[in-house]
Amino acid sequence: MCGIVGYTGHKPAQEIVIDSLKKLEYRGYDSSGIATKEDKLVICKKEGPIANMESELSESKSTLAIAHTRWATHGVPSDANAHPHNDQDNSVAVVHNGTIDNYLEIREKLEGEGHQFRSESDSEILPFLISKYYAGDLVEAIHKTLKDIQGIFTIAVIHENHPDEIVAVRNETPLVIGVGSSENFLASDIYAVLKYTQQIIYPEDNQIVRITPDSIEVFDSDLKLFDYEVETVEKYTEVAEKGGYEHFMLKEIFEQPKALQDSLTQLLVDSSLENLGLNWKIGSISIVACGTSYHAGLVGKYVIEQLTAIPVSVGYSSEFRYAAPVQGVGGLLSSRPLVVLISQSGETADTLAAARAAKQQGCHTVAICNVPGSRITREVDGVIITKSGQEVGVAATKTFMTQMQALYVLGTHLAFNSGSLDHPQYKLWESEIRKIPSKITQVLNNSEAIKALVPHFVNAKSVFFVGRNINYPLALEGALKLKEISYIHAEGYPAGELKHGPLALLSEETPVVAIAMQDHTYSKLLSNIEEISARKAPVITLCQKGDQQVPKISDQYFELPEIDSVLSPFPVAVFLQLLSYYIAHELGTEIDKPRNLAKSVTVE
Amino acid sequence: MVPIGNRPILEYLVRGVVASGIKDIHMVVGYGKNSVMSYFGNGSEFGAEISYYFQEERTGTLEAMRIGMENIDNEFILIPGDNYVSGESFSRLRNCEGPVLLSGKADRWSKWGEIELLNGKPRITFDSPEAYGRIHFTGIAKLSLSLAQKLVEHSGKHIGESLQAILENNDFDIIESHYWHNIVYPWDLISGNRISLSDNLLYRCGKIEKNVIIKGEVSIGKGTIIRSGTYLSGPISIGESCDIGPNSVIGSSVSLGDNVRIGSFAEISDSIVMQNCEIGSYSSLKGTVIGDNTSIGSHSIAIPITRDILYLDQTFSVSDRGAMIGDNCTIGSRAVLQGGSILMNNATIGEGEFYNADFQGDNI
Repeated sequence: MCGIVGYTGHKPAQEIVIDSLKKLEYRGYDSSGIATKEDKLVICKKEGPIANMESELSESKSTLAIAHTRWATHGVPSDANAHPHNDQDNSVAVVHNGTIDNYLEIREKLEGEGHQFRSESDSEILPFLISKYYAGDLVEAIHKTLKDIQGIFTIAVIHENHPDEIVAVRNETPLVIGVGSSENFLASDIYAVLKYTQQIIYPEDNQIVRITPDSIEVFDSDLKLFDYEVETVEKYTEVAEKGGYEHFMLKEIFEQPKALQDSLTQLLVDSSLENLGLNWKIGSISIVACGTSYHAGLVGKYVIEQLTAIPVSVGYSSEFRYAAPVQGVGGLLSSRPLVVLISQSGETADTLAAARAAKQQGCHTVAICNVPGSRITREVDGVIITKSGQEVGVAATKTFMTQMQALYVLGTHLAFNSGSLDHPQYKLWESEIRKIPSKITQVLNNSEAIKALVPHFVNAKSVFFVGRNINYPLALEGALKLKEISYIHAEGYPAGELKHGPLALLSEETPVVAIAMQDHTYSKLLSNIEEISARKAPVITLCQKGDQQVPKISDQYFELPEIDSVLSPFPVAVFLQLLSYYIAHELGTEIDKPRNLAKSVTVE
Repeated sequence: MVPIGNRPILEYLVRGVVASGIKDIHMVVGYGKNSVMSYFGNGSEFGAEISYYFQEERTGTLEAMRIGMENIDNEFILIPGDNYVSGESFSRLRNCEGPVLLSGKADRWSKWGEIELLNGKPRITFDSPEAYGRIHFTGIAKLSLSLAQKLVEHSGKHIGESLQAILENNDFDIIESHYWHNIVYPWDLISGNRISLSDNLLYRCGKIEKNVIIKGEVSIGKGTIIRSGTYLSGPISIGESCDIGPNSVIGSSVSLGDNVRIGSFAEISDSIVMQNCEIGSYSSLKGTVIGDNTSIGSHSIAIPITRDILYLDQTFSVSDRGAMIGDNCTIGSRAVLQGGSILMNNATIGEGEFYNADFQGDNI
């Protein structure tokens, strides 16, 4: 995880990198630091959020800077472990994102040579190695350093002898270069630089990049100059600022109708699925993702199986990548499996590794991703881009919605291709999917009623979420949202599974949220609610408008607008998001930056 | 956040203020604050710097002003959000020295009161019953902080009332607004729409098939498809992801929100269709407002007749207004909605029904 930025140009660098660094706070926020070139290199670093470090800064005239925001892997969050790290003479400053696997070995060797280390961080060996190999050219010094280290990393380095130069290199973790006029930028992702430029270079693994205000050189692993391409990315018109909302999460919840609308325009009207080349006989589908995206994948399973009758399995990326290939690989190319990878950032380390594993096994890979140009989009066979805009809150909300929507549209596309949906049915689905933004707007407009449910939860030690069929994944998602932002223990269960264990945990102090939609499992779910009530646990039920049964058997209920039950995950998700938000708000937790979490998980 | 000319009324005010050179906008929001904040964000998209102030309960415009005055240390312009005023008026206000009230020619009573000049001194009155053609206060004023504090001290729910009390002892200038349209009743939206479309932001995206005829100022959003044989005569503003035609006639003075679908052979003029609506083939709509997510079957008719409308115990005469239809309504095929009729949110009209009813219950 961790985020890095760098600037070299003609303007005061300190302001620019701090501003960019704040855009990366989602990648980690337990400590941060900055290195500038005054008369010599000056490093300022501090434990805690970026604001802590900012308050310690003194005025700077430097037009060169690198900065870092950290998510701890090696060593606790502390001033000493924060980046940038420097060598003993303070001639080199380094920021690093990733992990160095063989650092202990190198560290012992360097200590044997008389070097003194001041932190527990694996990154601290880097400035020592670089200054050891430095003989006038920074690129060469880094090239030699790369031969010693193993691991995944993005590194950016400045040296006191090169007052306008930053040298950077990546291996598996992200790095982008922003091209300006008489100024250049580097960062972990495009959001950090989009305010300044839309001209972006994406370096490949192990390419060393040297940027100065007026030049960008990219060297390959033999130090030959590489002919790079500059891409123009679309500017996100919305700025990641709270605009009146108390938290990013709430802002993003309320942005969902627009996010869905924008993504749908891309999917339906621009027919971006036509370009995926999915018109062969697909034998099986695997959906692979982490966290909230995994839950979107589970919803996708129900929809795609219902529409196409192709078997769909859903796996966690971290498991899938190490699993034995059992999917009929090596069989007929004409019925090869399709693997759908879902990653908001497109940088999730496990999902990336899963994509590579799937490709190696001969599967056709398609990624659903929210960041155009991100790593995963460069490695898979086809890409579906969701248009949620940047999501800053660590708890995923709008990207979950657009991921689900993408899977629904993918399902109808596959079903139409394979002939299981005829044209009028396909159009009907399209028309139903178009109605989703308006349905969820109705839930958003009713947010006060959701807020009113909060007192039933604030004193709970544990909360259960239950659902059946397509809303079972929503029970999981509801529990995840509540856990991550309110720190209340929560579990999601298929409603029918409670009696196989969890009923033992129910009591008056464990509220249960039940999702009761009018589908073929409705009557079964009602009897599950009765089972729960019989154990005296308070039941809060989500039902469709006009439901006659639910009010009779639940302690509290909330009515969703009328919607086809197959589309109900959308309004249900909005309800669950708002519920978690208001509970967390009541408890006063750090909603946008839950403890121990970071938005984009680029380590295994 | 009701749209006229496909943009919320507030957006015209924000753009007008920004065009006059003012960037710092304090928005006092209460009910429906989330949709306002989602739309405007921090204002950078509109060239403004917007900060938000919260009025949690409906305690009146004076209280709203008091909340919004925080962090202001000298002069400010006060704007109630339900007025449509052209940007030109703000430049005039800004160029005036000292406290100013913005006046406008009324076509009926405004809640802000009438402005009379008595011995060269302005006075706000609420007693004359005749309104048409008289000069009314628009609720928009340029005030100094000290004057505003005086207003707050003269408690009353309403700025017009408090102003009346302090006008005697303080010098105010009166200037006339360039254009003022006070939007209170549903049918005001139609005339608001006509005016605001003349202020149309022009853009042309989407896909336009062969044999589509476009005349005048027509804006088309991205992802929209205009099918063959459709005739568009501006001013028209069409949102994103719409699907129109084939062979439909739209215009003039029509605003279509995002994701609106209009079937073949439909004819729509002088109307507002908000987002996610569906209008069946062969339908004919004129002078009509349709709320979000409403669907209308084929061969439905809503066209104006001259009649009186009863609205909250008051009678209004209208001659060029069709039906006013709320959000989430379903209207069956071959329904006839008589001109001037008002249909509440979530209503259903069956197939072939004739509907003619006045306002009842909640606002739409």
